[in-house]
Amino acid sequence: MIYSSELIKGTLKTIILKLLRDNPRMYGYEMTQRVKELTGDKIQLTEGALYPTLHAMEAEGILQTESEYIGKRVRKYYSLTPKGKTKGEEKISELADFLETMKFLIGAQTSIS
Amino acid sequence: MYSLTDQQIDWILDDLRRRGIETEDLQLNLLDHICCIVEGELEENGDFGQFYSTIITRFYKRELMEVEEETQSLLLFKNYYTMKKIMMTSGTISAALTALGILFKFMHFPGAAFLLLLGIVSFSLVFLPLLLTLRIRERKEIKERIIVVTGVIAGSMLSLAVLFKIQHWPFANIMGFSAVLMFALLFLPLYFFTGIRNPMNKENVIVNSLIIIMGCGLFLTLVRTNQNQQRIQADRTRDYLQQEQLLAHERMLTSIDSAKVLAEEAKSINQLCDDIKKKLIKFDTGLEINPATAYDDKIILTESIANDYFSRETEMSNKIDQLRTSLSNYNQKLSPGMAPLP
Repeated sequence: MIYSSELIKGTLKTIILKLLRDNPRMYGYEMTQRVKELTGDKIQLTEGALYPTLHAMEAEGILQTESEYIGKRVRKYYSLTPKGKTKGEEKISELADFLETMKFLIGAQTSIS
Repeated sequence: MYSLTDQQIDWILDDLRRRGIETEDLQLNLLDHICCIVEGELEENGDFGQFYSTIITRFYKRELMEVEEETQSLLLFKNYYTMKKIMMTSGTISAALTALGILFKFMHFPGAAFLLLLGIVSFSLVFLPLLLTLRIRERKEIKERIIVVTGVIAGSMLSLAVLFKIQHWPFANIMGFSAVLMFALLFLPLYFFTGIRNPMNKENVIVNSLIIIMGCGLFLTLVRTNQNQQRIQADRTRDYLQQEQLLAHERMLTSIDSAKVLAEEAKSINQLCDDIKKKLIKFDTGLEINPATAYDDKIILTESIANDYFSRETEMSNKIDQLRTSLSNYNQKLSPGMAPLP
């Protein structure tokens, strides 16, 4: 089962922050592949959502970039800024908490029905 | 593994630009991503063109430009809250300054004009433009955007017109009339006829439209018509000339009186007053007229601001100072029981 893009959209920022907390620097394609691997293809980050979010996070000062030439093309590596590290911790624990609540909510509703 | 040539890389970059990707960083990111997919998934002797046209569709729902639009929208969104905060703060400060300015004006405290100037300028040039930027982003339909643009421009012009009017700066009337016309002929019809079609907003739209019409009406009632203006000016000129005649008559009587008190001082004060009046008439009408004979010259005095003239001309401000000194000298020399000059 592949999760719907609506579900992923709300957690995309947190996914990126988690990836970059575990890896010092990553580029866009690498992120999509890593998420695929980690989730057994259940979550596929769409490029159309990933890059706008990466740009916005860079503009917010959460991410920083360094560019490297790969032959004729340029690859942009993303890493966390100090502000991004703090934000990452916050977002990850917020999502974990949210998932616990959701589990309770869905579980509670299932038991009622 | 497929190996991309430099020409193919250039071609992909050109294609991204053609499809509406304008942000350079985004172009580079997408280019690298596509190259990674091609190199990772296409076989060594695969068809690049066909493979590219298949994988590019993964990036969007309808067209690739969506990615550019989403990026721009997210970047703008970052500033959205800051802009909203500045808008609310500037609006609150403008309202507070204007209210305080009006209170100072009524109480004749110093600094009223400065407070009003700051309040109106921040309202017209900070609050309203920010409101325009934010509302335009929220409204998707062209008609709704036109309503926002005309409303904000007219509102801004109207408040600046009031500022220009109270500061006696030029073009206040033309700005005010243009703003009212814009409200009445563009904003209001568009706002009213677009709004009443929506049952949810119908009542609000009718009430707001009535308030706007009443507001414009009240503003226009405060504006004098040209004909009225001329009549008021003619009346005031007549009053002034009658005063001058009375003054000339009184001077004639006092010259007959042999027991003249402080004759020299009085003469110098009279002379100074005549000079100042003569110069003011020239400033207002451009004519060299003796105040005493002005009645025969059929002049009409307008509403020029004497203070503007006094502050601009050093000669005039000197004369005013001289007059003040002469008056205080005169008052000091008066015998007890005689009424001092104001």
